[in-house]
Amino acid sequence: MTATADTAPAKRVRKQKPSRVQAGLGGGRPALVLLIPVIVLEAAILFAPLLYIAYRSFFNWQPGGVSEFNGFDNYVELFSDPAFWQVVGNQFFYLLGLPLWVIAPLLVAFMLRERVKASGFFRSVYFLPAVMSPAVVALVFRALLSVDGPVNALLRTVGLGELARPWLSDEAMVKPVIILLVLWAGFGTGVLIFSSALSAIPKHLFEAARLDGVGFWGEFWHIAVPSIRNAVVLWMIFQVISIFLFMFSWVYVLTRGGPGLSSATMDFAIYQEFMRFGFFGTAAAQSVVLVLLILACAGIGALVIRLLGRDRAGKKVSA
Amino acid sequence: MSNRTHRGAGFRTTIAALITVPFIVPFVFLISTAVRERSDYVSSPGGLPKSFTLDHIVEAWQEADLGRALVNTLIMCVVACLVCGTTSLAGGYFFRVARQRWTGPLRLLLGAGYAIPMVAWLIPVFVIAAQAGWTGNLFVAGVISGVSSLPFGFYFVHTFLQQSLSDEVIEATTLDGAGVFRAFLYIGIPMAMPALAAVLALTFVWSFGDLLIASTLLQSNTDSYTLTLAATTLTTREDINLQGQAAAALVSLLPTLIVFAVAQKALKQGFGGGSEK
Repeated sequence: MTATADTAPAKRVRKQKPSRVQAGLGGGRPALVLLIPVIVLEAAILFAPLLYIAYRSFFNWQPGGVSEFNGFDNYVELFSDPAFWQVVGNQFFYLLGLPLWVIAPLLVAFMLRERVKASGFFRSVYFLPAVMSPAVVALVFRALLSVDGPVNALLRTVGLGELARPWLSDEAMVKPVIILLVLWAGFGTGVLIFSSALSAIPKHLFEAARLDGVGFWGEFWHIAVPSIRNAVVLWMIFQVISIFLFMFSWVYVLTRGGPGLSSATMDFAIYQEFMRFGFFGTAAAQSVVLVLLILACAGIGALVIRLLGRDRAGKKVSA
Repeated sequence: MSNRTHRGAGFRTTIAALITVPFIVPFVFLISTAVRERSDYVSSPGGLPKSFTLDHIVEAWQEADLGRALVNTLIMCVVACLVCGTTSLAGGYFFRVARQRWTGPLRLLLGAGYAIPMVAWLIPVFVIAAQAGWTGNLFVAGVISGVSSLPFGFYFVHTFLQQSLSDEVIEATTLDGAGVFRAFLYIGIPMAMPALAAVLALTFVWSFGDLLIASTLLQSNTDSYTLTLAATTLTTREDINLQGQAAAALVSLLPTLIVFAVAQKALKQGFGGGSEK
């Protein structure tokens, strides 16, 4: 099974090559040697295992033992489990943070564009979280936000003791807190990406607007944002992917998915089912569902980009 | 006018400075917690330390075997960087020069590997590795960690070369009779250096910070624990107090801070497309 999946893409390459080689830049057949490592490694470690887990999702999977084919039983079990829907719900709740994750860095990148001393220094500080281990940073925040931790102590000291609460074990607070931590983690990268996109906008656009008396917000909404629309959409897609793909360390260290399952993401839930509880079949089925969800999001993203493109083309025609 | 500009500058700089607070405070807290006495922390968790001790750091270092964990992490990171760096260079250059009809779709497919959730492919990899007796092996974990950055890495090198390496230069090199490997060696690699630096820095940072691969593939063997795994495992122990945890976290963060300082320029050029000069 694994072996056939490994060689499949390579075979396709070989079959089509001779008729379509253009000698020009390609370097012909020897150049394929440069391609082989990427294909082999990705096929063996990313794609073949993905196909294998999809295959195993139709079994009562017992790694190392005898696995019985059970059709869609794993999926039926998964979909009738309220815990699964709770985790899917969490996943979409987290996506509510998207406007915040996009607008905050966008606004700050726009503000840093001019009339700020040492803007490079500020960008560096904001970028710090991007190079730190999410697991270790989550350890720090777990201590900061604990019941008798510094955040609550500070609130009590300044007379706001009523606001103090168990941030990470309060069912209503934990998801908003994690949304803010995701903002913290991605903010600097967003600022950096938006800054570079903004720097490509011709200066005279802003100067002309200023002569017309357009203020900060007018420049932001009517010049900056439309001009870097592609970067904005790209960053949105990146953040959505991150919420589906890279939340494991945060959830694992901060809350272990708790209280109950109220902060669990799908990647954490799958890990938990497989590594801790040993529900191998449903873990496989849940992995497939997660991949399908990501594909759906990618499809929506592609659609949005296409619609935006059409919108722009339409405007050009009417103008 | 100049007066208005000046005032605006002060205002904006103040806001920018205020935003740094949530980024600096966690680190101040981490450092101050790691180096103060337990009683001092309990009396005012939000206040500044009034005592200084290195005991916690020494204790955490010994209890969690952080020296060994640091070496383990570095081994894993170096393997990951070697795998991802070389493969990304070759693959990125290939897609820059290859012009067949299938190269575009293949490039997208390989790039889409980035969006496959790690758990989905890591679980089968774990099952296979466990059967082959490869769990607890840093080299295997390093290769796998490197491949997890590969879809990003080769695509990044490709995009970079698409902008920096013109068709004319490649054509001129091949007209001179250089084969594809000579062209790759003498034109491709030197031109891709800034992109390679960014890819290596990010692969290092990601491998260094990884918890999922480590907790899946290395959990079984305490001798192979990485820093993140050692630090997070330490915090689940009842007998280790917050000071010890902070010390372990501090030790695990310091190396990335150093990498950050060293590779900052490359990272910014990579992310910012060279806007930060």
